[in-house]
Amino acid sequence: MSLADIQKGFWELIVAPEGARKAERDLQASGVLPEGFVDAVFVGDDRRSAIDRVDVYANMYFFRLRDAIREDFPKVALLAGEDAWHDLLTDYVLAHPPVSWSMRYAGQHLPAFLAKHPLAEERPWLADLARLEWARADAFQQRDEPMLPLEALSAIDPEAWGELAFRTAACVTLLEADFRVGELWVALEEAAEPSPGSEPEPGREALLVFREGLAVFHEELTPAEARAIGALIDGRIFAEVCERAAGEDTSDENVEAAAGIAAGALVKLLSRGLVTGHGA
Amino acid sequence: MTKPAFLGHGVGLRRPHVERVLSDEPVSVEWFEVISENYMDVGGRPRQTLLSVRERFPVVLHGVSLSIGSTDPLSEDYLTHLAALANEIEPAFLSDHLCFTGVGGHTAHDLLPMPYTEEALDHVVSRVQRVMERLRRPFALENPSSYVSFAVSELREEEFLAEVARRTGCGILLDVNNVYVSSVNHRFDPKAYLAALPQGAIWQLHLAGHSRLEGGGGNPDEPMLLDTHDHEVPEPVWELYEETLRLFGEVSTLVEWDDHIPEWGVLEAQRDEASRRASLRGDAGVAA
Repeated sequence: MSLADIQKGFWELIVAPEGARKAERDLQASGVLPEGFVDAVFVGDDRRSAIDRVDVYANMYFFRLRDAIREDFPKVALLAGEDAWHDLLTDYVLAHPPVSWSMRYAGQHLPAFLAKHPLAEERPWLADLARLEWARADAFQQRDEPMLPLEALSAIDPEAWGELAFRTAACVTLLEADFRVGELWVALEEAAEPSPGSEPEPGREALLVFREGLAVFHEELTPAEARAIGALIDGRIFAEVCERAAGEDTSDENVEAAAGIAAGALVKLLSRGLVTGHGA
Repeated sequence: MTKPAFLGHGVGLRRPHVERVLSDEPVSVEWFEVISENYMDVGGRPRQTLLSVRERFPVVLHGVSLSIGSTDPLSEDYLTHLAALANEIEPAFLSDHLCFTGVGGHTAHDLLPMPYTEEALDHVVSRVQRVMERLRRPFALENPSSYVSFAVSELREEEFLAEVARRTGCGILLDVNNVYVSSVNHRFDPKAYLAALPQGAIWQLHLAGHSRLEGGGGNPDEPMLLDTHDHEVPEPVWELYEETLRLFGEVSTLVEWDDHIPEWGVLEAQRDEASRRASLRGDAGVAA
């Protein structure tokens, strides 16, 4: 038997959701594994059969991922509760087995997965909290980038502003949530003993998640600020950033105010070191 | 490849100890090993921490995701980021494990054992050569601990590892705890394992604790062991360490502790014990 066949069979046995012993039966029945594969390839003894030894790896596969992903979603795990977190991760790992050499990406699909999971029918706000935790975890270790100094704005030709687009740092995320999970996150973080029964207040919340220096923050934005920052993150030219900030109201008064909001949003990002460059 | 210089006795750098390590209080630790992947393609605090540690101490980059034994292609993306990190950090050397971590484009983030066949040997040798060409730095492979062995193996693990080192010039990171754990799990003589390894190829030693693998049958006084790195180094592993020193002399040695991480002082005391046992032996017992 080739090395490739052995590794493929070993892999199929350890990633099956109900353990290696059941997987052996199922995989043989479906023709994925040849009859007698386990005993032909692996060695057991009086302490553990060959398949029970393979099962050690099957258990470790799941528990390692469950616990590693928890590190990026500690508050979701706490509020979900141990059993629900276990069930969620069982389903998640089956749907999204890791593909990156870096463990940091193992949980990247969890917020979207959770939004469609039965757990979200009971507690729909958990998906918003997961998005916030993921954005914070991502910001924590995003690559370092040279920032555009605030003074660079003064060198820009006033005539060129409208057509200018800015590049924001990879550690910046604009998060728009249906529940006030930013407040909930802070309350959990500051509590001496966070309550597993905590829930967010309903209501939309736009959050800017970012790293400044070595620390990660999230900050609530007004709707107009959120639209402006969203446009800046999308790389829109500044004229479009102003249009987005204005929203549906095209009155002169609002458009003028929106230009100020757009400029303020840009300065907010620049002053936190979150803009890396600009260009037409 | 030339054996890297002796680094002394170190520990694996873990997050709870960073503040203490970078404080003004002295530490007895002479070098640190870091998990390469924790610092590859990342910025912020993790990168800053590594740069600060590197300013003060020699560092070895120890990987867990190279997947040298996998039949999937080597990840060029992985090697690019590893080479970039090595160029920035200038480690004493780099290492990873004799194992595969995934196949079919997926990864288990676990060190999965592989059969020791002639086909696997040729496969690993060619991939180690490719890695060394890419990194252009000293590179060592670590013996894994394992809970299952392969009926199809044609070589013993120590023979396989020695042959990879001979054919490629890579070093061996000899994990003494892994030898002990596997010797219990597969009922072989750990001293015979050590004796079969080549002089000059042992670049580094690992020491760690382990746990009992609960459940299973057989004699309850002869449990299988799990390589959990969550305890102090137990006496049988210290004894095997002393045997290793007798066979190979002075080797850079590192204590690993990855789970239930203790206070810094507990870990440092383990490192001091490794140093003490090495100094008691001196080089008098080095085999000819």
